[in-house]
Amino acid sequence: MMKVLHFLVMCFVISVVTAVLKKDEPKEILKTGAQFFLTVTLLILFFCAVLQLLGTMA
Amino acid sequence: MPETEPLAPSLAAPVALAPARKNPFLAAVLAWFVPGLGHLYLGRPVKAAIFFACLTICFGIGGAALKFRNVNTAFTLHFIAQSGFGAPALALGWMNRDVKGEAVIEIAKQPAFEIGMLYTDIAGLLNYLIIVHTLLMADMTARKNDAIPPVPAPPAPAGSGA
Repeated sequence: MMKVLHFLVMCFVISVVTAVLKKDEPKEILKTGAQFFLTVTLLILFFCAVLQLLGTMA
Repeated sequence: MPETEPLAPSLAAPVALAPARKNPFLAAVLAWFVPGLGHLYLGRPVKAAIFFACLTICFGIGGAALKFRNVNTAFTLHFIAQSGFGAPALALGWMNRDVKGEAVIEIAKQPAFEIGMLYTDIAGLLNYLIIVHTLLMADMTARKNDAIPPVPAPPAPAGSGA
């Protein structure tokens, strides 16, 4: 449970910083942040799944 | 009743003031020294506050998990990432300079080690990203300032010269 929480906090921080870097308007920041959050979360989950797969294969 | 004199042309006409020129190198150094300071220097206080809050919380969580002993030059690759956080990371590295050998192994054995390292590393790496953005933004502002044509001087009133 704690690992999932840490994972989500990490994704949130990365998304906020990258969205604020990319956009100026608050509304755009929210939209871009939400997109980044989904993208980052899915990417990390994908890499975790690949690593898990490699681990079981080895 | 005397008539009021018309304002001089230089006072009556609106003058387009170009924003002050910012030094990209100084902006980058400030951004590295304290997260968000570079954007504050470039006149973006809201962005600066968001960066400072996010990165400080991230670095704080990671450091507090291991009583800030994980910011240590003994973990070389981690320290390279953490040093992106700037002055606080370097200060912590210097404070932990005596933590060596067995003490370092003890830190690495702690259950919170991975999470603590992850948080501090991410904070440092994100600040590297912010430094690059600060450099680009300062450079862009300087180019925009160069593109603004100079305001022509108002014509001298007739008969005022020698």
